[in-house]
Order: sequence, then C-alpha cells, then structure tokens
Amino acid sequence: MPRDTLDEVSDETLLVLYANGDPDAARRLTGRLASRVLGYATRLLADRAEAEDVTQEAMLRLWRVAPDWRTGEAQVSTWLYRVATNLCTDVRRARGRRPGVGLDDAPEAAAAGGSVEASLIRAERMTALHAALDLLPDRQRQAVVLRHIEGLANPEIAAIMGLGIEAVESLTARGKRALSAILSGRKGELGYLNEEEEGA
Amino acid sequence: MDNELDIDALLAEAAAQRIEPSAALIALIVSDAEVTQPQPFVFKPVFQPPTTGFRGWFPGLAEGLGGARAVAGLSFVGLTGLFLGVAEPTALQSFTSLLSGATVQIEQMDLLPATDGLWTEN
Repeated sequence: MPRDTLDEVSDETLLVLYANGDPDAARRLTGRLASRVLGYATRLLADRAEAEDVTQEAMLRLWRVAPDWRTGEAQVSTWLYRVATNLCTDVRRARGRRPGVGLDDAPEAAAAGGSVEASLIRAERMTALHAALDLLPDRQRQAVVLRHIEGLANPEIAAIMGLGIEAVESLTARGKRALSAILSGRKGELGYLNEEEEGA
Repeated sequence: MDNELDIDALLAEAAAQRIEPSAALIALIVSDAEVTQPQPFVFKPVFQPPTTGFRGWFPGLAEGLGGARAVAGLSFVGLTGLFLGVAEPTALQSFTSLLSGATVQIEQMDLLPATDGLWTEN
C-alpha cells in the first residue's frame, strides 16, 4: 500500500495489513505506538532501561496477536496499554518496591527548548514527579498517568485497567491528592516560587 | 499558591514532554516485527492439471462427460456391445432370435372404399 495512504488508516487497519504481510505496516505502527508505550512505561517504572524492555515486549506481543486480531472488539492502543500495564506490574513485583528515583534514573524527555536554567528546573520537576508517582500504589499511579499524562478518557482507562469508570475516577482523585501531599513542601525547590515572583 | 493547581500544572508539563524511543529500540521492534510477520498469502490451486496424457480436444470432451471414470465406463459398455453384436455368442443366440423373430401384426383397414368401379368407361 502507498505510504501516503498508510498515514490515513487506523491502527487496526495497519495491524490487519501487517498480518497480511504488508512490509510497511509494522514500521508505521511502531512509529505511532512505541513512543506512547515507552512514555507510559517510563512513568510507571521510572527506569528507562526497564521501560524499553517493556516496550519491546509489548510490541512483540502485538505482532504475535496480529493474525488472530478481532476487528472492532478493542482499540489497538487500548490493548497495548493494557499489556504494558501488566508487564510493568510484573517488573515492579520482580524488583520490589524502589525507595525513590535519582536524577540518573530520570527519563530523558525530548528537549523542549529554553535556557539551560529552565531545562534544569524542568528536569528537576520531572524527577520529583516521577519520584512521587513511584510512591503511589500501583493502581493509583496507573490511573493518574493514563488520565493526566497520557491524556486518555476515563472509559478507555477503565477498559485498560479492567475497572468501572467510577473506580477510575476515584483512583485518579486519590492519586492526585497523594501527589499533592508528597510534593506539598517542595514548591520553592521546584521553581514555582520564582515563577510567581516573575509573574507578579 | 494552591497545591492542587501545582499538581495539575506539573502533570500538564509532564504530558507535554514526549519520551522518544531511541533508534536502537525502534530497530529492535521492527526486527521483531519482521521475524514474526506472517508470510503473504499466495493462492495455490488444489488441482494440478497433469503435464502428460491426453492432449487436444479429448480432455474437454472427457471433462464434459463427467471425468475419467465416466469415460472409462462408457468405453467398457460400448466395447461390450460391439463384441456382442459381432461375435454373437451362442448363449445369447436364443435371446437374440427371440427378439429378431418377433413379428408385428399390423391390422389394415380401408378407410376409403375402392373406387375402381366408378372409373370404368362405357
């Protein structure tokens, strides 16, 4: 199928094309989905290397399920998030709970521009956020990341986590309250006071 | 500063930062896909026409009659009939004479009476 046409087709169609032997479909799907899975796994695990392993394994499972994929039953991204969630849970169980995340473990985000100082502040904020997320119970962490960082809607999160929508809302709210409590004393440390002073 | 708002801003900041996979990871994923990918479906006809045997018009005729078995059956019946007709085996002679000796009685009736007498002159 021509490349321009592949840009417009859904993930599900690409997966069917892959199962039928289309050589470009896998590359296209990887471009669309790998960064999302990697971002999600990185935020759940706070470890780039483990997140890459999870991403590779989740995508491998997607390739394997492709010939048996039932069209119309679930979105490919939803299925992939669910697999990644389970894999991350397994990884965390295997390694035991980490006490926290150091700067060296902070996920490498794409450069967003700005001054060196701003970049450092941004990196410090992300490190603090990931450390705080790491302290949350698994389900709260998953719900908060899916809702507020991955930007998914509650019904999709419910499908990923195998929960009802109300349960997702409850988990998200409790997760955010817990994050607030963890980060409450670090407002100045994370550069927010300076921004308030500059804005005043 | 409202702590709740801080969390929303912090989460929004995190959401704006994409975590891009390295080229090495992309290569691994694509390699897995290539290894796992099913081969494209290629249609292979179940029936392979024989490369040797009858050529020309006969295969079409045989197929029209119902295939090789039907042709074999018809050939057997035809040859058997020819043999019986030419050789006339003794065992069948009484049967065939009975069939050939049968006479058919046809009753005739005059629908129009003879008119010869009407045509006599004088």
